[in-house]
Amino acid sequence: MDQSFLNWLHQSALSQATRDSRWLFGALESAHFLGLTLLVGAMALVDLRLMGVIKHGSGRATLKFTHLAVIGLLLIILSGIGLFSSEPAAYWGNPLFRIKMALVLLAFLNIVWFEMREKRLVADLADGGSPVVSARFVGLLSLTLWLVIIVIGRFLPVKGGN
Amino acid sequence: MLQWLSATPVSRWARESDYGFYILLTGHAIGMALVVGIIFVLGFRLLGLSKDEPLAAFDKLFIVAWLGFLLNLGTGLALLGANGEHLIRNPAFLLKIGFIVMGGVAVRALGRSMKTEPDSHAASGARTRVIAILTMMLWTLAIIAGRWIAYTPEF
Repeated sequence: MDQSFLNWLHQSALSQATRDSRWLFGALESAHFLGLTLLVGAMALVDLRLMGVIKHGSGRATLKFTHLAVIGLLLIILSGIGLFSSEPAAYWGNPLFRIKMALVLLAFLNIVWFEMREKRLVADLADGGSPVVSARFVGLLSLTLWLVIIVIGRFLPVKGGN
Repeated sequence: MLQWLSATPVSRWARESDYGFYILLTGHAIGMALVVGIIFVLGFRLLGLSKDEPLAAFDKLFIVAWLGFLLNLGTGLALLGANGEHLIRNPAFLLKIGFIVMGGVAVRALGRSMKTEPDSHAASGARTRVIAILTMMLWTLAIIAGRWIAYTPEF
């Protein structure tokens, strides 16, 4: 990421506010945690169904819960931008943070793949039916990635020099 | 009891090792995401999201939620053992425990209310929906209080 962009962000009003107000930073962190909670809860249901671990629920009915995951993701992304802006150079300089972002990108690519290739098949899945192998893999990758992203997020201060 | 906790090998490891705290906090975050996340998903289903989703789909999910809760209980006790004297003087920590206890009572009440209704392709009755909303609010407050532990001065 360009250093001048990081500098510009550091000088922005948002960045200043997150550094001045402990309350704002804490609120952003809370929103980040609530967002990931919603995401993980929704994806636990959807991904476990995709993996065939949960056998109840049609594909159509199960996929509706992805709306909750989207709300969770929006909370995470918006609060994440706020958190990042507090010390852009420090976060970007943290190798664990860059790994976390790479995994987030991978998770999004997994979603795109699902939307393009698997969703049609899963939408036809009946209550009690078994998903195709490729859908199982997408579900496993999804849930694994989100949990690993949480782990790396919790370890950021180790390399971040907080 | 705090002294007994702080003498356990896990708590001593958390205090002395470089990564102990982070590993415990990570387990705590994953447990939180699982138990509260699943509570949220159940809550929204009861409120009418995806009415065709059978409640039987939640059977295995509840096992996952229980595992998440046990993970939190375990990591929480270890963290308490490592940092107890500060935590019990922290109002945010005390509030968090209070919300968790109330949240647990709410989940039990929710389960009992759900049993009085047949599993149907519909949102739940009014009483179940009210309890569901209360349950989600209490667990949300528990998470927020938990985040505030780091920022709250002690008594």
